[in-house]
Amino acid sequence: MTTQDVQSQKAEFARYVAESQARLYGYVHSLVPDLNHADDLYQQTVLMLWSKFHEFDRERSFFAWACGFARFEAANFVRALSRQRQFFSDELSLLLVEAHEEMAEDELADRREALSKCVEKLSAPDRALLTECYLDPGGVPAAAARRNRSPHSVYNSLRRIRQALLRCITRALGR
Amino acid sequence: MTDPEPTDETLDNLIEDYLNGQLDPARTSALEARLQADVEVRRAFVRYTRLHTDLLLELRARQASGRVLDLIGRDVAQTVPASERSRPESAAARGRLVRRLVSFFAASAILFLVWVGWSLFGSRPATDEAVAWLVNAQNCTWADGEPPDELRTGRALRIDRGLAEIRFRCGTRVVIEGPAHLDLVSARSIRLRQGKLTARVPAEAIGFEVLSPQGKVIDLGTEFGVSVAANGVTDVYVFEGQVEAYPTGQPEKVNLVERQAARIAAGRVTATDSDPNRFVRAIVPAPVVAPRSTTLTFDRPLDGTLRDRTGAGTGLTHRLPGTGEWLAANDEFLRLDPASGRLELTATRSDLNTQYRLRRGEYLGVRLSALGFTGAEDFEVTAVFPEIPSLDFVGQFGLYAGAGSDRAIRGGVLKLHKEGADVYTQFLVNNPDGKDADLYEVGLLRPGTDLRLTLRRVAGKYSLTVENLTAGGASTLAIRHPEYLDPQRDLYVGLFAAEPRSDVGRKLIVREFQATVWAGIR
Repeated sequence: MTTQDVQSQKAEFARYVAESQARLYGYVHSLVPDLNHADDLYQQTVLMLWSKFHEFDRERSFFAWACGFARFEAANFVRALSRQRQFFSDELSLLLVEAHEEMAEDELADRREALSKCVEKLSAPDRALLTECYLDPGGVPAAAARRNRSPHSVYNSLRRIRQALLRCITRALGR
Repeated sequence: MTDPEPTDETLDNLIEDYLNGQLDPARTSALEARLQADVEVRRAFVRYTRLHTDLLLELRARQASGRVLDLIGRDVAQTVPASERSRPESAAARGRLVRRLVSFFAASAILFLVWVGWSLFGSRPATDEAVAWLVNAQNCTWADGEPPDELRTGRALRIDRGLAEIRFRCGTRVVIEGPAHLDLVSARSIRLRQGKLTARVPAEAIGFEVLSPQGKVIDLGTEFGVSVAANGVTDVYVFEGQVEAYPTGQPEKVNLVERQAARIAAGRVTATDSDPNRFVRAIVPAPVVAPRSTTLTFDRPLDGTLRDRTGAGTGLTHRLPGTGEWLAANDEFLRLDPASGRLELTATRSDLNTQYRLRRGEYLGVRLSALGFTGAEDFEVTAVFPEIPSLDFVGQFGLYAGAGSDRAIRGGVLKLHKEGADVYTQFLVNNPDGKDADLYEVGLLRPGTDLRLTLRRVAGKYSLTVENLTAGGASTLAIRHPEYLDPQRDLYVGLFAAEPRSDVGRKLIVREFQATVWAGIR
């Protein structure tokens, strides 16, 4: 393969990734809810996709093809963590790919936009808590310790905030 | 906030715990079975997990755009020397996050641009909007006349004397002590030319900077103080968290953590012994009155105080007169847990109302005279009760103030319902003669909530504040004034737990107890 071929393949691959990345990241994240792990796994998956890109059948859905690898990588990943947590069965993982695929790109974009406005509407302490839990490397335990609260009670607050956001999004989308 | 209950509580809970990594194999299987069985459940699951993903991206984008905007703002303002503009991004605490940001966004550069662009041009303020507000001042003399409440980038503030507090849009709170001279450089940085300030920076605003003539201090999520002398020599003290200190023109930085101090001068950062007390961290009302407090964190036994069942001193010194006489000197209903900094109090069967079985009643605290109380002073008592337990009908706990069991005011939470929902009502009640009067009740709370209760007398008036630390709300209750307490010169304050109709003996956890008297008043 010439350098030019590689360049044009890379460009094509980048287009495919750009089209599916939000959804693919979402799928990975739904398999591995831990934020740090999802990042690593997403990267690993994209690298794997690039190395197998020459096998990709252009007639197929890139997202479905990518989810196959993501699922494979995720299973290995979870096994390597040797946590007691069970991994979803193959059958269910496929059903979930369907459920992810079913959500129209427009709806995803609308939901993201609504979310941004809903986050803006949160009280400042709620937003700060959310930010710390999601972005601080120490996560929920660190956020709880700083507030002299139990992690359990912070999880309860997170639940309340996330559920309020879900309701806010539903309201904003008028459905 | 009173959100209605979600329609399918169990599914939401399963998904929440799944997202939090708190699902055991049995509940994982339960979730799996429900997902497998129903396409609608799968759709709900996808919407929920997408929220989780989108939230992560949204919050990162917010943080990233904050930094980008800050850089843009600084370049436009041209207020920072070139040497400071190219600061190294190597903060230890931020390293991992930055690495993750970089790696993640490298893999999805377009997404990043869309997100940053959208945050930049969507919800962010235009450049001429206020970046900070003047929120408080005390005995403050402004050299150039009082500034407007809304402060924009480039604004200079000069204080001859007194205190001023400004709050930035990003959430950072800065208390300035005069004489001081400073400029608002951007939404996330200020230049202190001379004087003293303390800054408290929330997680959202990590990266907030204080520039000085000799260097700068970059916050990594913390509270810190900076003082700049007339010759520009800069002293830093970290109250909480961590900061980076840079000397002007030098890429080398020094990381300072809690209770560390340093001096930035002549291109170097050197460790110093600094006195944290020279910084004012908050503007406290009524400064002419000196508060005297006793604070208990239950992290070690204190001799000469009320003892728990193992003989360890709890730190609490007195019982409300008329209560607890039959309790053992090593009180079996108390357990000090120094390792986790808490006191466990088992509710006993008693009630101040009708003076029921008070000799075994747990009403313990401190005597205010020990803090300088002579009758006229204001005071307050506060305590944190994490994960409040479930009690039986009319079970109650909270705080009291009084001269004795039959002359007291008390408030807290009360289980008013015999059956049905396991919820508490907040209450405040007078007890002028052994019987409850003027009961006031409001609001609902669930077991498992973290609470902070504060019973105070301010300008002679009593009130109870119930802060729900889990939900983030608070309410303050007041009732008919307890005249019967006005002439009392010897008052006791403290906490109690009582189960008037039950011997089950549930445990209440107490963390942080503080009693304060504002002595030297009027």
